[in-house]
Amino acid sequence: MYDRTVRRRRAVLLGLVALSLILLTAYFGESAGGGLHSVQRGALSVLAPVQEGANRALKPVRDLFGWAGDTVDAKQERDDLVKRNRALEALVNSQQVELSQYDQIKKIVDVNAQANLDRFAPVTARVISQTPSLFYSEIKIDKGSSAGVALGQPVTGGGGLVGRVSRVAGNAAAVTLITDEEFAVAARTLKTKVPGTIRPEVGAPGDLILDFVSQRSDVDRGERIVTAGTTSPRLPSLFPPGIPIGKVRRVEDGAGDLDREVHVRPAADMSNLQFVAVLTETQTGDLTAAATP
Amino acid sequence: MTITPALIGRLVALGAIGVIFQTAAISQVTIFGAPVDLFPLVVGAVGLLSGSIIGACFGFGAGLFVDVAMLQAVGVTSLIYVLVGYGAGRLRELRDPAHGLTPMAVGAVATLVATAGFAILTFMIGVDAPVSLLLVRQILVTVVVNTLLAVPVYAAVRRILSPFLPDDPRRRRRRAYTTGGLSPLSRS
Repeated sequence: MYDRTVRRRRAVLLGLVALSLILLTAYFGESAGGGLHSVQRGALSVLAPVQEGANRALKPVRDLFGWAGDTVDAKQERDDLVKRNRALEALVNSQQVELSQYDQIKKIVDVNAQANLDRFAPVTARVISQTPSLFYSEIKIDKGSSAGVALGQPVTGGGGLVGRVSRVAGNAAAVTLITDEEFAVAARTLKTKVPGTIRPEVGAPGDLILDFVSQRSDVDRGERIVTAGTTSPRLPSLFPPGIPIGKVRRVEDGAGDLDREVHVRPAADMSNLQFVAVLTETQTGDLTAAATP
Repeated sequence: MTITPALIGRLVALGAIGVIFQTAAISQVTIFGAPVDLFPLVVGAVGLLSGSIIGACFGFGAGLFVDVAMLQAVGVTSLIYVLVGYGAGRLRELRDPAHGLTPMAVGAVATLVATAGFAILTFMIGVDAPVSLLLVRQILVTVVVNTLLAVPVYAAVRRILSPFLPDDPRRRRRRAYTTGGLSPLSRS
């Protein structure tokens, strides 16, 4: 009796294992249109509506189980997203810095091309410090005499004239900005060629004055102001002609009866300079004739 | 244990409903990244309650149904579940375990055999998938989750099959203790 039971049990086991292996072999041996595949397709068409109905009916159950799992998973997911967010923020910051630097360098290149300043051997320098005052009258750059920088050389950047070199060391230099009260440069309007002198408006950072403009001069709001270059052989200018300085903001009557006071907004943003170009081979001779604008 | 048409009907219903429930609802629940698979627990519980022959037959039928319904290679799951059901049934026949945590141990082993066996057979039949730590982690998570779920699943299966089962081992042990001893095989 016992032997019969054992034999039956073993026979059932071996039979089922063998049947499974036969099914497996047959499944892989037949083509996609074979019998077992057809059975699967038939079962799919029969079971699909049942499973769909069960799927909808059991959604609350699934949601209940899912809620517990999701709560645990959400914490890990949140931590991962926080890390990812930090990495992306760092990347965005880095790219914004690079974009800002690119913009500044592009403005320098554009001004150099526009005013034909490449012939003055511009040396691009990074601004390493800025006077922390309201007027931002001086900046320090990372290029000095070893790069050809010398006293008095004009400095451009940010889309226009920035200032001039006022002190030089071996590998650094200081630049006095055009907003400094001691700064002045011969200038003219670009279109009507009205001459004058650019000086800063004391107490009004970001505002320049085109001085010594006669009442009869034709100066309109929005007109561009550029450096005039050398206007008299006796007093040669260090600044080549045609460097953009700014745009006319408004025109007022001057201190004298015959003068007008032209307020100019600087083309360069003095508070946000990262790169500037020092024109290291300026000539003070007959540059007026070479004015390009 | 007598195999009756009513028992077969209940087992077929248990298998069919279980597969639909598993595929429609349970398999879409993930815990720690691993989908929940209760069917090894059901097969193990049937084997533990009904013996090796019924366990193996139920495992074969349920595995075949899973393979057909899930469009998997026919024969893989049935082969694994045959072994799971047979093993659980043999444990009952040889040891007649009465401890309350036996379903947990059976559930853990059944899940381990099912998941690891399925992975091994899948690799053997040529499914090109990398063996990674992720797979090991998923198997371990499934084993842990199923171990925790084994007792309620066992209780549900026992409730479904209870009219056709011999006495529960624990109840039989209690009665043997109070009556001075009855053979565990006296009713089977």
